[in-house]
Amino acid sequence: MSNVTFKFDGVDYVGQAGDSLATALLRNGVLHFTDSTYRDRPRGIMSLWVDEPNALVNVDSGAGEPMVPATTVEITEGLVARSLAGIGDLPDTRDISRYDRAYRHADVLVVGAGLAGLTEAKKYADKGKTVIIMDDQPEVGGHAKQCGEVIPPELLASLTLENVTHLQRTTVIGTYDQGYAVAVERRTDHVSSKVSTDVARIRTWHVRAKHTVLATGAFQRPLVFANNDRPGIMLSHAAATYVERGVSKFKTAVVVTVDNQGYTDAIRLHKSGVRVLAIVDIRKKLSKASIKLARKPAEKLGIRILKGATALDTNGNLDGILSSVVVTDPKSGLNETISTDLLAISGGWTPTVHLATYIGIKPTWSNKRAAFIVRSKVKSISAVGMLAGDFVELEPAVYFGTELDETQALVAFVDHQRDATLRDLRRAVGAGMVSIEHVKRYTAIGTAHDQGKTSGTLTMGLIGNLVGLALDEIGSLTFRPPYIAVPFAALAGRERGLHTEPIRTTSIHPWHIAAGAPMEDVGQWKRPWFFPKPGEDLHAAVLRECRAARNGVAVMDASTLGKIDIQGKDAGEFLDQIYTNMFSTLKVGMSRYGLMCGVDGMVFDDGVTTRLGENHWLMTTTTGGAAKVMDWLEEWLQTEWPHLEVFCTSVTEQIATVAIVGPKSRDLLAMLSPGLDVSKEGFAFMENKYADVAGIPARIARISFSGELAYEINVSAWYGLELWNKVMELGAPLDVTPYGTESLHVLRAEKGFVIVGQETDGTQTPDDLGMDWIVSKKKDFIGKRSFSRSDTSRPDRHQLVGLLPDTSAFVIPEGSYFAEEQHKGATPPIPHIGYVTSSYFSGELNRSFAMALVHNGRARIGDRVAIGNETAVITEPIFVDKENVRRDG
Amino acid sequence: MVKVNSTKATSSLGGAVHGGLDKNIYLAEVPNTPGIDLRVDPTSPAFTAVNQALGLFLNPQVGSVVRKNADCIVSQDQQPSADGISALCLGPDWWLLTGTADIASLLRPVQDTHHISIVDVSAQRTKIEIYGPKVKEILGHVWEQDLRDSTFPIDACTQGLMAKSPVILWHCCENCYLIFVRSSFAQHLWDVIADATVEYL
Amino acid sequence: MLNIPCPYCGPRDETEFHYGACANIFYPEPASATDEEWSKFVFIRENPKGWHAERWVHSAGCRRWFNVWRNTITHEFGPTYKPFTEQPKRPA
Repeated sequence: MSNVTFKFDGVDYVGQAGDSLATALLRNGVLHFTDSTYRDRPRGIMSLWVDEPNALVNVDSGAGEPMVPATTVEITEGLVARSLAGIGDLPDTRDISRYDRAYRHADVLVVGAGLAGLTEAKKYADKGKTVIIMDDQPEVGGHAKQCGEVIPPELLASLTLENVTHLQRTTVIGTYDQGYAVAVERRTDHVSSKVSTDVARIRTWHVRAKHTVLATGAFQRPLVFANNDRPGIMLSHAAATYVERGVSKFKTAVVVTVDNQGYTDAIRLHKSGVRVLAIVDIRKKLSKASIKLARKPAEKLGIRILKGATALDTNGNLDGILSSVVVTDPKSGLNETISTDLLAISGGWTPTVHLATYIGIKPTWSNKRAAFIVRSKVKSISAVGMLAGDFVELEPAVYFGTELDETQALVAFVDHQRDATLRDLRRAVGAGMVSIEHVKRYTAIGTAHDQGKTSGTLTMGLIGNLVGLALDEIGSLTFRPPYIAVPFAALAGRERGLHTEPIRTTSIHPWHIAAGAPMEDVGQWKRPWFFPKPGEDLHAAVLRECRAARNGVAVMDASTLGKIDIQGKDAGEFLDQIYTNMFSTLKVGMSRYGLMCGVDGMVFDDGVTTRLGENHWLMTTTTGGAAKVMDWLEEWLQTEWPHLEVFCTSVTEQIATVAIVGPKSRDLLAMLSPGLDVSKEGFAFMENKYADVAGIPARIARISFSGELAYEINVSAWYGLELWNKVMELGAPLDVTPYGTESLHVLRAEKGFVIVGQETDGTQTPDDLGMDWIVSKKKDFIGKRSFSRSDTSRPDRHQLVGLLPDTSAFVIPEGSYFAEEQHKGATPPIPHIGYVTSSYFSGELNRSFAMALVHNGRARIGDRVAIGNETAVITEPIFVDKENVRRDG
Repeated sequence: MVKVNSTKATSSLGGAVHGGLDKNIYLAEVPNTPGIDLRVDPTSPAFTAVNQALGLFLNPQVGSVVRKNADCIVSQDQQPSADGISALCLGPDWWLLTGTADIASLLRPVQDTHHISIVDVSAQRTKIEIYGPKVKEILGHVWEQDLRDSTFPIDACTQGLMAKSPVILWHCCENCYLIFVRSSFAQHLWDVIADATVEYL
Repeated sequence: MLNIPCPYCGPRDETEFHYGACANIFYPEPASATDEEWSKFVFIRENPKGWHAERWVHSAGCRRWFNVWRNTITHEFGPTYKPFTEQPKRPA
């Protein structure tokens, strides 16, 4: 066994490789571990594993982690840890450890690799099923292994079969519907105390299993008596295990028990050289089997047995550490104080039911086992081993502690982490609480870090005593995942930083990056925000870009728009239903702007749709709406109108779109596509032509989102970058100017063009937006029926208008609410009459302007509104080229 | 269908390669792969017409793959045949057709008399090859669907989200999978998969 | 993480689907629907405790809409049925 040096509370210690921190500290004689959170009572290590309520540490080495039970930390060279009085510290440096995630499907998931779990795993593995077996301990074998039993080799052998995935140090933290389970595997903390950046420190497993076997075993529970929380008082199985591992601090011991387990552990202590002064057994009479299995072997070793007695109180030395136990039997009048180093309690076994309760299985109370056990009625879940109550031969008494007076109750602890006592329980019951869920919230019992792993059943038993109800009448324990505390970073895995969400880019993206354009997030897409020249800020760049678009030629990457290819003889009829305006009458080769409403009559998307052929259409949607519109089209085709011959296919990324915009765009197009008739008469507004552009086969549409003469050049995305490069090259003499989303927004807003999702939030009808012109009076379409609802046809709805601030340089923050003019400068609360949807500074107008939704807006053109200390005039929502003549160039 | 002009065409990943053929994992973009999304109702006469035109019986079972003259290339000196077609069934009336044959030309005459939809999706997705003895473990870090051969054998295909990116996954041969990912997501997906190989290379 | 039984692709994680609320909602003829009938269609839905017939679309997979019985308490899934087919009996 090699030695390991570690630091605890600033002191260097030496432990043995493979020790838990708790074992190593006990080996070094550390009994007083910390003081309790609320009452500063000295506390020591009480148990063996995650159920430990007292010995919490802050691990400061490596990634650092607060509030870890010392019983679960494996010591490594250089480990640094600190005791905690209830509250830990989050590390103040970023956790740069690597964490990852793995997904697996299996026929069977076995949780727990004790004897019961191993037996189940072998059973399924031998049948050829894919089995995943997970156990949270460092070593296979669970409870039996801790007691020193040998695990049958054939069980271990099945763990190495090809169809078995075996993971230790892996805690299933949650179980969910349809066999889903999430587990965390600790991979490096037991190997090194250093931060692990190349090997995942924790791997989070997501498992989908057809069948789940729960073999999670059980924890011992303590008893409630006065001063039952001193260092030196331990659960009996834990005490015996520590002593067997070589902890030599205890020379004498008293075992207080309600079941045969106490005898087993007393004998283990005795065999390791501890003088067991007495076994104090609340049970007077035992079955013949128990007498044979438990009492006789103890008597043979000369251990004194006090029948029908239990612990009443303890005494401590000046440091509060256990010095003696007061044993009592009210019936016989026994009241004896026994000096002892160690008080080992066996209050009964509490099966670890959490994972079963997460998926709605209610544990059932068994009087014979003095425990809540899991009997699964669900076909896909089975419970085995101690979880299922496989310990009836221990013959426990249903007993939780002796009668105590008020003073004793005040120091009789039920939940060590909350410093909650029997007195708190009595007060809760006195206040009328009966259900465990009410008591839990009134006293905070079970709500601390250990989530009631030791206090749960104890609390229910004591409540039962206090109100005279049987344990299955009080309600059942509900637990919630995660089973143990888990770092958020482990759940995130690799989904951090740049990998949190996909970053979507167009085929022209490399050019934007090389040009140094800052990017804007549009949903998952990165779109160039603006293209600053050296020394320019956003404001200066936008002024220059917009000036180029309105006076020269500018170019934009419009590839992110959603695109849906629609084919079939009924496509026109279908589009007539989907859009508010007519499409079936659109000529081949022409494009038309359309608006889409939901059945509630509210606008939810828009776009330009082109008729490529008699039965062939290309629909565009907003960048953010592409998936939603695709689902919408398919919903109607599949669930309402399957008779329509229409097929839809997503082509959002198939086509790259480069828009050239401005009075000189015609000249640029002529250079890019010599031989193409680009004259005003030869290439009409909203017309499409096929031609080679810079040698690349393209479809050119004369469409404008800026109000200027403009063309959208569509090519296979394979050639998007080549097209852009050629536009920049051939457009150089025209000073072709790339522009980004900011300028795009300003240009369209100057024309009063709405952006769905900016001017709309799902509660605007076309009429609200002043777009009654696009609503066909001739045909029915989805949503039209809702226009005649009383609320939708109200004349005073919020309507789209323009705003011009009286302070012409004041750009109203988007989203601002505004009020009547007389409320200028007033302090809230003030009734608002609308809000700003878009707001910019216009180079063209040399002033600020905004679009807004105002109550009864169209009737209020010319009125003023107040925004804080500023005012603005309501106008028509159009600011530049009100006659729309610039469109033809 | 657009013919590839190699001096002008770009791809999402520029033909990137990661790992090695002799290592635990090999990752490579197969750039500029042609593809057609076909929609046809398998209960209609159009279906028979399509099968005849392609010389292939499409299987309308979602997740199936049918091939003609399109075996996996196993060694460097094997050449793909000139008229190969692989048909991946993505929905009850939806296939991705890919291969060296001029599939659109074969299908266009059918559209004259039948209701089918032929859409060029060559640039809509890009193709990533992932191959090696640890391929299932590595995919298991980014793919939530069942990779066991019993559920997903050779010539099974499926659609889903890999690292939140829409993909088609095709188990094309032993220890080898093809990922068709939407072009705009390709760089993100590549980075995530390459990152997942860290403990295997 | 629900596992939803797509009738075309088999069981898949819920992240591959979008929810479509109640099944068997009758889309009334808009021209002749009264305001009450129309509002009921647009806004009113049942919210039962227990078995609920609902719609899902496998958006990340085959893109097909289908109906299925789901228990809103236990999240068990019952039989699926495609649009325009007869609804299977409510599970026990």
